[in-house]
Amino acid sequence: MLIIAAIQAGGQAILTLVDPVLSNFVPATVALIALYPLSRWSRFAELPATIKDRPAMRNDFNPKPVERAMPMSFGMSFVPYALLTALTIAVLVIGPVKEILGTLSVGLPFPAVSTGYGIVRQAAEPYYAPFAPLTHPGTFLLVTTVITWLIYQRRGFYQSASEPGKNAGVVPALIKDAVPASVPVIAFLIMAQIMNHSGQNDVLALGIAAVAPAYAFAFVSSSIGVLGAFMTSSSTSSNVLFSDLQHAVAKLKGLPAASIIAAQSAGGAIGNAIAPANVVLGASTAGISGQEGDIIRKTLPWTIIALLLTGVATMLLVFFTVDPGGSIQ
Amino acid sequence: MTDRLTALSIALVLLLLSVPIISLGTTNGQPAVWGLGLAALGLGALIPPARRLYLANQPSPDKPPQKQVRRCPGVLMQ
Repeated sequence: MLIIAAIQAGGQAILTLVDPVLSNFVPATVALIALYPLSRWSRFAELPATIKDRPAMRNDFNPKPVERAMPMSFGMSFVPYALLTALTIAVLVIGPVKEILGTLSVGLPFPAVSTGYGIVRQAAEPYYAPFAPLTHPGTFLLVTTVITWLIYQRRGFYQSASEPGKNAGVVPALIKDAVPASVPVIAFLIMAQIMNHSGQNDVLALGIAAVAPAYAFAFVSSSIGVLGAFMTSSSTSSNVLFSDLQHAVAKLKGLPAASIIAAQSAGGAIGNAIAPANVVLGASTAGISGQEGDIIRKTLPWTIIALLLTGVATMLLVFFTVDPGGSIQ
Repeated sequence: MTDRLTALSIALVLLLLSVPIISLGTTNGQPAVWGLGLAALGLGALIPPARRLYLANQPSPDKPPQKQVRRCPGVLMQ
């Protein structure tokens, strides 16, 4: 666990300096590859004596296991990962390619907005928050998916892997999986943008800045991330909801925005451990539904400890990175 | 397609359509158009919680009741 964590965290720390888009994917792939030699290590060949019983390993957990032949070779199963890596690196690391593909940007225009609190947003023309689809990570995933689907379809992997009469097809399966996940994400994104564009974040930030000393805010900034994750059961949603607010307060207090946003993101990740939907999902997967209270009782103290440590780390980070001549308030 | 998926699909379409309609209406000064977009946004946002509220006491056909597994102290009490 520590080796995988070191690869992931160390890789992210280094690659963030090169390209933030690659900083998660490449270390995760390296960590995935590292799992194979680690699995051959004799230390992991036997179960630890401290684990007496695991529901997922009980004989009655899956009373009718189904034996199936492998639909494809080990190497073929790595095709999408290799494609995604090659595509992402080719587009994002080769400067001229990135520059050419990045020239296409799309978005929607919106007129100027002013609020009763005197907050004015200039007209967003030609686009509000334009994005470049050809260099967007989603496009890499989409292209990789289409190419992989074509290769696997041509080789007949889907037909050989699916049970007769049970092949629902890609589109119905896509709708079934993607729609329930997309609705809350889109709703959160719209809400976050309305809060930002209408100045609600500014009003909240001004209120927080008026009552919280700079270092006190640095300490509790990760708690806001935890709150967001607890409310939404998603660190991504927490970041969508509160990143603008955290950024606004950081600017008002003269704090380094990167450190405060990092604390928000860390808080979002920590809060996942006590997020009700995650606990319900984890309990259901492990076959211990109904014991959600026990799980939260176990995770809550560790969440609080991690939160306090993150708060202290954020304060230290702010203390050591803030400009001595800056106007921290 | 289940009722739940149909409702969520309608909500998704309404949410996705609302933003360009609001953009079109506000940039061209057409209150009826951006009003329509705003209505689509509100309706799309309301469908999932409204459906959940009204059908909270009815068993979901696409999610069978989960079997309770006996308590396993060895897992959680370590």
